[in-house]
Amino acid sequence: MDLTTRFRGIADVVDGDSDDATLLSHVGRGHRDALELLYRRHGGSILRFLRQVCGSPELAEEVLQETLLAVWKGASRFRAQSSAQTWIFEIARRQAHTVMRRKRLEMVSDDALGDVSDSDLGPADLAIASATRDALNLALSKLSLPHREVIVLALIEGLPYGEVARITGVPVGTVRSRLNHARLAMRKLLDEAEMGPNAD
Amino acid sequence: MSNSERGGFHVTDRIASFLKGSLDPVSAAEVAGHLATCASCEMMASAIGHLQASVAVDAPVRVPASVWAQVDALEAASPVARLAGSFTSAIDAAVRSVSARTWGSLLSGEGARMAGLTVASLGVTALLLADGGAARQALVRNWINVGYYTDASGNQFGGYFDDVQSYYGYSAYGTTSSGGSTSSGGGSSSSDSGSTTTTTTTTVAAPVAAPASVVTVAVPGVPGLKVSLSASEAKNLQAGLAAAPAAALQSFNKVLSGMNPALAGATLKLMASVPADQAGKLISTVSALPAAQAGALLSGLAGLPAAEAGAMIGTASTLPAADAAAVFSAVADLFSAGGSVRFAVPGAVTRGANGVDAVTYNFDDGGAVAGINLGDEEVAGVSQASGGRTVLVVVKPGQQARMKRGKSGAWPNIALPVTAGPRAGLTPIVSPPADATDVWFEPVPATANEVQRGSLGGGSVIPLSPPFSITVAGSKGKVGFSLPSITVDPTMEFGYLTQANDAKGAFAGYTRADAKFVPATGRQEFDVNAADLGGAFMLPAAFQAAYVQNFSEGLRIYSGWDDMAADFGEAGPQFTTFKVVAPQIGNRIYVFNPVTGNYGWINADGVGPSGPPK
Repeated sequence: MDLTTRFRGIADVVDGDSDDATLLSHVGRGHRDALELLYRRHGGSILRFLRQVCGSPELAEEVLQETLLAVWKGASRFRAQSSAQTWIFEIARRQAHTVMRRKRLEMVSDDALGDVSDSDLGPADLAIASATRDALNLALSKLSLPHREVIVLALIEGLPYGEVARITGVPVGTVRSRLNHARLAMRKLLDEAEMGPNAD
Repeated sequence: MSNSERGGFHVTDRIASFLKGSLDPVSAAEVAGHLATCASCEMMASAIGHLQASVAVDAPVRVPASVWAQVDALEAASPVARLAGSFTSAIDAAVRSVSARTWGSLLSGEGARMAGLTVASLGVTALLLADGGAARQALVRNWINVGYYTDASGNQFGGYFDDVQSYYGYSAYGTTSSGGSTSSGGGSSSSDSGSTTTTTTTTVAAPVAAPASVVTVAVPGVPGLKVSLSASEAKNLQAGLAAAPAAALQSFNKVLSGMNPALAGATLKLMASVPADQAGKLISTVSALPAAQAGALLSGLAGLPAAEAGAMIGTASTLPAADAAAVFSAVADLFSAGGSVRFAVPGAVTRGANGVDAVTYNFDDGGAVAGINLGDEEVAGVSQASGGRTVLVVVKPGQQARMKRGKSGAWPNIALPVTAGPRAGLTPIVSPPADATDVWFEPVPATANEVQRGSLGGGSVIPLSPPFSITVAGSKGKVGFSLPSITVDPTMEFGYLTQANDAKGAFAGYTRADAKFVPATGRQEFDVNAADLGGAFMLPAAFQAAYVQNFSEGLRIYSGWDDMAADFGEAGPQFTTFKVVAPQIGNRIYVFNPVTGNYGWINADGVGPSGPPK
């Protein structure tokens, strides 16, 4: 009989110091407090991601609830092959795509794009850094879905590119390429806004 | 390499993490240092920081109530599939639910309580019952894969319970069904997707009702050993004890007194459940074994499910006493070797075209996953893995065993003791490849002539037993064999011969298996192509050292014994002495070539007998 692992009472270990994987394992055994703690840690990031992906706060709230329910149901099958946060992002993205497909919302595939030279990126960053908050949000909302996803996950949430690749289901090289194109597209959108009908 | 690519990675990749404060201190210092010297990265950092600040959202506080409402609805639909609250209270709730139903008699005792609940391989749960007594043993069988187990004091354990015995007088085992149905949602292929749900259907055996009248049987010669039996069981046991010779009974009692009292009691209960004449024969057989083997045998039998132990005793009781003792001795060694050993209960018997009865053994339970239902409610699930298990198949002389692969597609290791002859008890262990559909074994097959019985090699090969036959059907893979090594005269070598067929598939002779001796187990192991095992004979043999020498130049050496073999070229110069490794087949002899240090076949008419090399 192999009794190599011994556990304390589970109620004693669901606390704020528990790591994400531990909390997920408790969620898998039906501990609501554990899901509350996970939500407090990652709910903001997930919601931010979903708002950008879904394009509307109401739809993001709806998908967030679907995501939490999916986490509750699937937590016992989490095998720690990625971080818990990445796993939750994967579920959130899948739920978002499912809901958007159901509602026939924009599902833009990644177009074949050429290489981006480093010399183009400096001006793009300058445009982003000097844009107003409203202009930035507007430009973000006009990006294609693949570009929005990598911008939020890699730049806004600061996830490692490997994790972004896992969540979005593409190679790391594609993540880099999408990011570069997204930055150029942002600059273009910001320039257009500045020179639009209301520009001086 | 640019400044932004130091260390094999892009600093730009980590600027966002740096700004979020999620980098480790060393990496953070590195990125900060780079940003201080690189204008373009500093600009990028400025852009990312601006982005991060622009899309902030209010941090959420609590999971929305609507989510919990949906969770409540889920749990109402399947109350035990997702037990709410703490682990212990969920178990207690399940106990209360159960005790009102079929299990009332089982759980009414003060100490009875639920012991464990587990997530098995597909996320179904397993429900276990503890005896609540001083021993605090869980009522689990060796095929339940346990994730968590709570003992009577509330301590929780995790692990794989592969050898926990039931000391409780009830049965509570789920019977496996033909498998559950799986439905997936979300369209994800990720194993961690969290979107796969599994449903299972099955039944659970009804608990055995407490016997109407319980008597305590004191065993003569074994002080302190008592066992509670029903009146009819006690009567049966007494008849069984009376059927054994007095000397054998004395020896048997000595073995019992050396055993764990719980296992000794379980042994007596087992013997009380089989016909008296079988119990008497078992006592006689056990008394003939060395004490350690006898203890291992009885402990192993007591740990088997009653149906398996009863079938084992029933089959062995039909064998002559000496053969039964040899088989039980081998079984005791299997039990002693550890691991999970089960006995295959014989199924239907059909008469084949060759007049031999074929006994069917179905390994359907291997790898199955099933839930346990109480009434209409699924309360648990169990999984049984075939891997690492050894299943014992005992078939009488004159019969053959047909073993069929289970629905799960997994094969256990199969132990196949020879049940008659000078090597009764010799037990090949066969590991069929996954694609095999059937395995056939005949312990004492009919032989056509002396050649099939192993008389080959001009006296230099001495068969140690008649052959047994093994067939593996439907596979193109390799079959693993493990067979005991037998001690022979120091001037000889021991090995196994396997059948070689000609191009038409007919018996052509024997060749020596290229086996590896494993000192830890004292067994020889080798692989054989399943395609070569069409009713193949095998037998153990002793090999007398023998040598041949070529008296002329130009002797060729081949890859095999037939015309299809590849020609490896000239074997060696004139008067090379070759060591004979295996018996002659056709016109060729399998030899060790000292010139190349390798093995091959040479034509017998090109060599003559010789002494050992000088």
